[in-house]
Amino acid sequence: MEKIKLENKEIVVTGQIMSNDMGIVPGKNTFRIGEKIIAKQTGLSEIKGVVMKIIPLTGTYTPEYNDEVVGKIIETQSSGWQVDIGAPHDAYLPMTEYSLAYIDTRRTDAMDLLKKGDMVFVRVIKYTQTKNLLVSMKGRRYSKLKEGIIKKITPQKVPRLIGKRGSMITLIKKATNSNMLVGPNGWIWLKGNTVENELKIVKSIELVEANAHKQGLTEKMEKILK
Amino acid sequence: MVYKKRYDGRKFDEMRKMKMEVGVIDNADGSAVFQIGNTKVIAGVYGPKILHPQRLRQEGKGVLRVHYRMMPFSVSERKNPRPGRRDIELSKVIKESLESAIFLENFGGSVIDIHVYVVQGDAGTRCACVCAASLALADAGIPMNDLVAGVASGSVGEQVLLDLTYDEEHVENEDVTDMAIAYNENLDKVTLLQMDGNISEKNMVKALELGIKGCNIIKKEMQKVLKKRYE
Repeated sequence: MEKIKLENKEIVVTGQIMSNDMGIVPGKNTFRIGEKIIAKQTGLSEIKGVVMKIIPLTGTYTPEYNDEVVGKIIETQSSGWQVDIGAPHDAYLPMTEYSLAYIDTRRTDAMDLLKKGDMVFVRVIKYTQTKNLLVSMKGRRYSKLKEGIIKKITPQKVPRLIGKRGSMITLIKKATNSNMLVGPNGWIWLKGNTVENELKIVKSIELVEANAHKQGLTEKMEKILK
Repeated sequence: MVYKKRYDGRKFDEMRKMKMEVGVIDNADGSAVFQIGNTKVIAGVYGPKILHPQRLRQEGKGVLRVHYRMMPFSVSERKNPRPGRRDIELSKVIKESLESAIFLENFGGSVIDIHVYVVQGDAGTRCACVCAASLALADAGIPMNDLVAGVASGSVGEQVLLDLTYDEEHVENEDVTDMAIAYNENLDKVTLLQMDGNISEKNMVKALELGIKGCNIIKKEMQKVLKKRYE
């Protein structure tokens, strides 16, 4: 039988046979039937040693423990809030997890702290198979986001926006002298010192969204930010 | 009269011209348009999302819902938009043909909604809907073991043929059989098989093999279209 071999960073389509070599191990987003390794999703192939995996180009966000994400309060309850973090299921933020300081849940009104429509920066502290999703605001990094712009991109394109060890995001932040929070769910909060700078960031985010699977993104970005 | 030459001049094992596009609906997570000859369908995928009411949720397994409808203007005589027996049956049949392809165990407690609408009907709509739905699912990034493709085959008199049109289903003074097939290549399984009419055993096997061959051609075309989106 003819050997099928893929190059690194090649576009692979759902159901495509990636390899028929028993020496290769199926990694993330791939599986094996008989000798064949088959792609579960559309994405870019990545071969590291004997492991073959796929970096998907589309799809929804699945929460993971310790993910830091931007979310939106959608409901106030007696002792907590329901938060939309772009996952298939809504997250719950208990009142006890609101801040590092002690909160007497019997004497405080949840409406005084957060209301429907508020944007928050939170951390995922629990995600079980039964889709029990808990988030927390304990820590200095996490807070209510009072002003700024919210922009949404496809979750799979977030690694490209951040870059290698945060190279892309520091480039944008330095060039525009602004603040940015990016979570793996694709929700971005941004705030610049002037309107022009904020519009520049929005433009650069749109550039990443359109060209995430192509090479030479950094050069294009530098042109826009000049 | 013996049916020796097809009305539209195709060979007996030739399909109509196909045209596909993915990502046509911005609001949906995944979408596709699939056209084969004069049959044209549009599909949109929403989800995975929370399933309401709660009692329908399944532990450790996602639920797939398919919504098949024909638009009132899709056929020459106005089709009543009210869902009838046929709409409900085809929704079920399309759902079952796709269920084995999706890794539903990843989506416990949630639902994936597929809406397929026939814009123009000229025979073989259920097969076209299977193709459009699996294209839209792949576009939405839902993990699947293969793209399921579907095509109709059958016979007019003693002649076995592939991809019948409406006119061919209504040839006068001849025994016409049409058979809807959907095929999952990686699992090597026929996931949809419905037949209407009388056919001999020999011809039935022939038609099935012809249909599977057609499905493989459609699948290759679908993969090309999905790849094209990122080039």
